[in-house]
Amino acid sequence: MSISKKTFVLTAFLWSQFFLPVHAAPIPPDADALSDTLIDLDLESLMDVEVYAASKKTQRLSDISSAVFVINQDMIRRSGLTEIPEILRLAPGVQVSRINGNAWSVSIRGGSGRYGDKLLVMIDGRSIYTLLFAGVYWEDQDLVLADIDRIEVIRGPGAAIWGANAVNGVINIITKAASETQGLHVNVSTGTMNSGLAGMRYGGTISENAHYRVSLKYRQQVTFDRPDGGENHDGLQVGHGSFRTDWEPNSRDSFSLQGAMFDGTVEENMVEFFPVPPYAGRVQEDDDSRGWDVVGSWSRQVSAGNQIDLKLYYDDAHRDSFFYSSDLDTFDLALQQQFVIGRRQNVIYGFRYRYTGTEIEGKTNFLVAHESRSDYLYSFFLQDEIALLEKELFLTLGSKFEYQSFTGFEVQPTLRLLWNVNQTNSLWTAVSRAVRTPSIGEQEMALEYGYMPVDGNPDQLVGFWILGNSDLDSETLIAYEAGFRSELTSALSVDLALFYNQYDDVRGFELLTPAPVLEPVPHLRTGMQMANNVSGHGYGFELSADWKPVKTLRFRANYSNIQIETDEAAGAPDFLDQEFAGKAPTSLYTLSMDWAPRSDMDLGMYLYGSSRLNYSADPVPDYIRFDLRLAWRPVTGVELSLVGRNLFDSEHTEYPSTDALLNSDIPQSIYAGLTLDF
Amino acid sequence: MLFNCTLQFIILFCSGLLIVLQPEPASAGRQAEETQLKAAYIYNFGKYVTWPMITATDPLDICLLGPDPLADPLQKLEEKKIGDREITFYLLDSTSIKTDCEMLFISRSQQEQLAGTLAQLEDNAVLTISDIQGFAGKGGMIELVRKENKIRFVINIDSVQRAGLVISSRLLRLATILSGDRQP
Repeated sequence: MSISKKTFVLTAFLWSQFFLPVHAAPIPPDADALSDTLIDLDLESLMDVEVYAASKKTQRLSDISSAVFVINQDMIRRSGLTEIPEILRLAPGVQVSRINGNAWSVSIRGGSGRYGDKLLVMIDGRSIYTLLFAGVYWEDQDLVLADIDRIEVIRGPGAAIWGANAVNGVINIITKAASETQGLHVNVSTGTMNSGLAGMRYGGTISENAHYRVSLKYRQQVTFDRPDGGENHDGLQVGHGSFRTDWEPNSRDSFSLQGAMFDGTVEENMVEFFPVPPYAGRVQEDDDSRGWDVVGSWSRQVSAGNQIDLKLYYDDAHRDSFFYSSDLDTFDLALQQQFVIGRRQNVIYGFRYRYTGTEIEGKTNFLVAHESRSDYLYSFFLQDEIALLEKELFLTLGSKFEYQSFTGFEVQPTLRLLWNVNQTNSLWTAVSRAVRTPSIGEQEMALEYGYMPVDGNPDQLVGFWILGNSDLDSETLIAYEAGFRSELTSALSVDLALFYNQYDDVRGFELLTPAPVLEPVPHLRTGMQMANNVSGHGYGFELSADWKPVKTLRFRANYSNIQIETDEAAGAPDFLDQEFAGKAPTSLYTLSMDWAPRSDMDLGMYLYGSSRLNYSADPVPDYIRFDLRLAWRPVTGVELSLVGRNLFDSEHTEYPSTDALLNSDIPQSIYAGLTLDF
Repeated sequence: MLFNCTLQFIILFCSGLLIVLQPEPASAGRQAEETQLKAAYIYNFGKYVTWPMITATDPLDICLLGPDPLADPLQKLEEKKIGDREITFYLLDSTSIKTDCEMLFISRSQQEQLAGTLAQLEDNAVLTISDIQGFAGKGGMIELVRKENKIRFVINIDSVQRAGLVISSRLLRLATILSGDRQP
């Protein structure tokens, strides 16, 4: 039996039609359902559609099947909030606790603290997560808020792309391109909390394809009161300056050069311990915190769906505080490429090299093992998004492979699945592994935490120490997530995310065997040493809804719920359970209404709530905070605003006194502001 | 205290709700990729422009001059129609300017040759569109401008009239109008 050539060709052709995509015209990988409906909009409606930056595409890949919330410039402006950590309250599931005037704890899905060590934070791709104490000095991050384009808040691990320390979440603060910040912008305000706040930006044109801006900001914040009365010492003065230039010489390449510097005075209210009577005394210090950075990037659109990005930055951070004086220099180089294979695969890979040079010197009650050290990181990541069913079912496989000087080699993979049920509903699920590497402080430090004479005899002294551990390992997380997003109507959308996080080798403490030591005076040394001896889990959900019934009115509601439990804290005292599980409230919620009663007026009402924080040593009652903002634009380019914060309450605490920081009452406050745009 | 706060808030919320103003267009608060949005604008311009000596059933040629990420979304317009007119998409390079296109989008990559290109098109009924900065000021017809994350457009009315095209008042109403060869 033989098959004619004609039949064979025809059969092959028919089969190929079965397997190959139906349309011959190339469709870019991101030509989603939205673009089809865009075409059908009339001109008036098109003028309302916002453009998102092309650079977002690189992040969109990872965002697509994870819990993401975007805080845009409009939301920032309408909220009347004046500090970046406060703005993060607008996102669901973010626990923002103001510890005192100048210190915040910002965390997602647990792991709160002055140093929220499980959350990676970046500004335009530059990490502001300090390796010194694994966290962010939020008080130093004081951009001109109008320069921010958006803040992407990703809940859940982002380690497969961003690497270590993107454990419970990632926050990307993205500033506007210089071309979008042209002209003069001035913002001044004064009030009972920030006694003076002034921001200014000027943006200009160098040539048709090149733009720049220069921004300056100064903020002075008053001292708050302690919950038991009396003033804390927690004021702040910080100045911040930045520039950005963007150049697009042709339609394929774009270059950007930006830099910033800041100088701040951060007040601290500390306790100093002495090995001689009176053994302890209160010290009020003014920390000096300053730094600068410069970031360069180049992006090339090789072809549709194929893009190469190169970014390098240098960051110098200096802090002279009560405990120590430190200087960190970071150099970071990252290259990534994104491309499509056929019509079904979207691949992204990248390399990173980072060098961190640290100089640290102990000052008060604080000793370090090495006053100078160098840390390195080399990493590679690869991610492939495969359309199992075109536009409908996507599988994402990816992993970060990194080698760093803290703990050696780490693999952080992720597996994600997204199902676009139809144009308005989608379901996703993911399982990922992420690690938190020990900080420089955790490896190096020795902290004197109290002296006590035995039976009142100063010659028989017992000292209490907290010791770091150079052998600390990485903390690990395995996260299981699922989510549902739906546009119920064109005006109402909801987003639900569920998670179960299993943590192992979390840094806790082991009790020290008492031993006599001679430094700084002969005494019996007791206390604790850091060790990876805690495991536990957290589970819960975050729900957010956005409803815009009419053009001039918008409601948003967020609710999140979390349960955190310690599995075991073998051989460790009860407080480890409290450290791990006691510092996150079960419920957090936000309700907001933005209303434009007239085209020249805005009214914003914001309610932020938190359930009780059960930290046994210093529980924090539940609180509700209500903010109100009224703005009026008498002429184009001029806006007057009046903002009241915490209006239903005279004051409340949001966080216990921990991490050697004394908490404060968060007061009621008002301010009046003026914004000019020319 | 807590109950009182919540009640106050609910009252404020409800009073806000009572004020029902104009109905919501489906597009508000939406985000789109820039190229997709620009393609949607170009498609819409086609509806509001009348070309001389062309009947309502002739195909409408949309051309793109130079390499540009707009190629893919413009290509996709072939699946659509404007009224009864089929859309055909042509990708041109600088050596082969087609003067019988109804609409010509000039890519930013053609910026340096812009003056020459416009001169070549003179006296042809081609609606020229571009996102080159200052395009309308240099004699182009419709310039797409990005402003505060949204797309706006500038129309050089003199260039349009010189080419014998008629633009509907609906389009003009939404545009920034430029008369003569001045910058806006």
